[in-house]
Amino acid sequence: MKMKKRQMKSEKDGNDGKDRLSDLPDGVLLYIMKLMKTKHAVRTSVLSKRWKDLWKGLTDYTLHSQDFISLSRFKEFVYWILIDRVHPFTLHSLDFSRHGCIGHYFLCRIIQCVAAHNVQKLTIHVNLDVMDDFELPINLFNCESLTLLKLSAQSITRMMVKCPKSLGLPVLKTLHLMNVTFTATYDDCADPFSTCDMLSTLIIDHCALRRGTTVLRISNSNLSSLTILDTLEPAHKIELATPNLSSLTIRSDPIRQLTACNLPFLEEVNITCRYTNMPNNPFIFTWLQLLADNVKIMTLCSRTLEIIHNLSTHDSTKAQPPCFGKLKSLKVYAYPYTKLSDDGISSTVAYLLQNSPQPSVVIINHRK
Amino acid sequence: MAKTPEPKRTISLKPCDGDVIEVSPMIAKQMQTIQSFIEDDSFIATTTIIPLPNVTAFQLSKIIDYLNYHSNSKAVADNVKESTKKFDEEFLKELEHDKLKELLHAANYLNVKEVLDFLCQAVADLIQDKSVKFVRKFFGVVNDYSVEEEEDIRRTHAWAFEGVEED
Repeated sequence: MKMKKRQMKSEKDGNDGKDRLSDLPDGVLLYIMKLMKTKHAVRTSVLSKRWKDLWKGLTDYTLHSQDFISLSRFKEFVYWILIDRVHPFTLHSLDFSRHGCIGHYFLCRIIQCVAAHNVQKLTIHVNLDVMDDFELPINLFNCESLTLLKLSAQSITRMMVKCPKSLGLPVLKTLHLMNVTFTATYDDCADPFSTCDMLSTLIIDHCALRRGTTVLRISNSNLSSLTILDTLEPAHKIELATPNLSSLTIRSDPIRQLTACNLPFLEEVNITCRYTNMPNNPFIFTWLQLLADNVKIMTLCSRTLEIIHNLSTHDSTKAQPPCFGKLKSLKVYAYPYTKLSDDGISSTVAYLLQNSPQPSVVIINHRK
Repeated sequence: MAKTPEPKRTISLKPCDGDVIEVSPMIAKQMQTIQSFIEDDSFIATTTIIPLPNVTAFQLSKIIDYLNYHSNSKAVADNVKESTKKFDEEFLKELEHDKLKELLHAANYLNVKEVLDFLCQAVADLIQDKSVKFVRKFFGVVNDYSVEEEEDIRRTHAWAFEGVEED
């Protein structure tokens, strides 16, 4: 029946291309608007009377200061569309990004609005010029509707932007945190994600542990993908209590300590080591031993191979590489500053895989 | 002994201006409008030809091309991503503005989400930052505001008209 109705309507339209797009249902026009920056969506109100209030049906806002001629104009716009709005409106997702420095009051007002509207997806990119350490507003983390949160809040005054000890966010599925500081939940251990019961993807990028906090514990029963970039220092320890983890990516200074629960589903491992002076501590073998059992796809950087190479040539530290029983593919990124020659890389790969069945090996050369 | 013919596995679609086009059930499934037809009790796969009075053969084959390419390249390897991007770019390059609009109509009529998503993004990219005049022309919108009314909107949303292409 539905089908017939649609046909009837469309036959009337005829086939002349002109004026056809305006016949598209509001849903499609709104969908197109959703894919534009909100500034441009609001601008369509000038097209004709039909378009005047169409944008008000938008539930997904993209507010980027880069699209405005000045930060004050941007602020005017944000207050008008979000903060000072008189009539009720629905907000499912907000992508807010502001260059320059934002006052914390402005940020708090936006978060207040987000919390009041049961937003499901939230992205915030801001720089703060706070004079003291800044606690991220707790009403953000009390938000029971958020399924996705991407938050980058950098203090240009080098103050800490602190996350609460425990994040809350019971239905959150994806979390991407940048430039924030974690505080100890108990003793010297930060365990902020254990309350996010639905979390499946976690990315921590350029974050920090507060002084005195030395352990980052990730305890989460649903987490399947974990990425930790440039967050850990050599003295830190990381504890994985993530039984469902299937993909792990770490880029860091070579931290010494990693402990993990049994990771029966871990199939993909990517490790990039930073270039720092470090002794030839066999930490990397301890790591690989922990992660080797089920891994199918592994990516290593040339620095990691250098460390393995040094270990292989120093009798005193000579350790046996683990058996990667299920490894199908090994990828090596060779960076310009590596001290290893092509031959050196090949022989180190052979050394690393000596106890494993032969996976396919790809060396991606960035040196040319 | 007479051979029983292979049961027909494809769905027959008849565009308004061309011959019947056969599509696999996999592709048909992605067109919600066709799917509801198939689920109807009166539908017989072997004989029923589904008429599409407001979809042209060109539009239908473009949509099928897109779905075919994308269903065959679901893998996420880097080189696949690259070639998919290239395919998408080529796909758009071949469409003039009018064709793009008509295809959007067809995709909406057939209710095929993957193509609709892709085309909506293309339209959004195309009209964003463009002058009001351009967007009116693109959408085929007739301006029914009085000069004063339009001026009023431009004044209240002044920030929305700054930093974009002038009329």
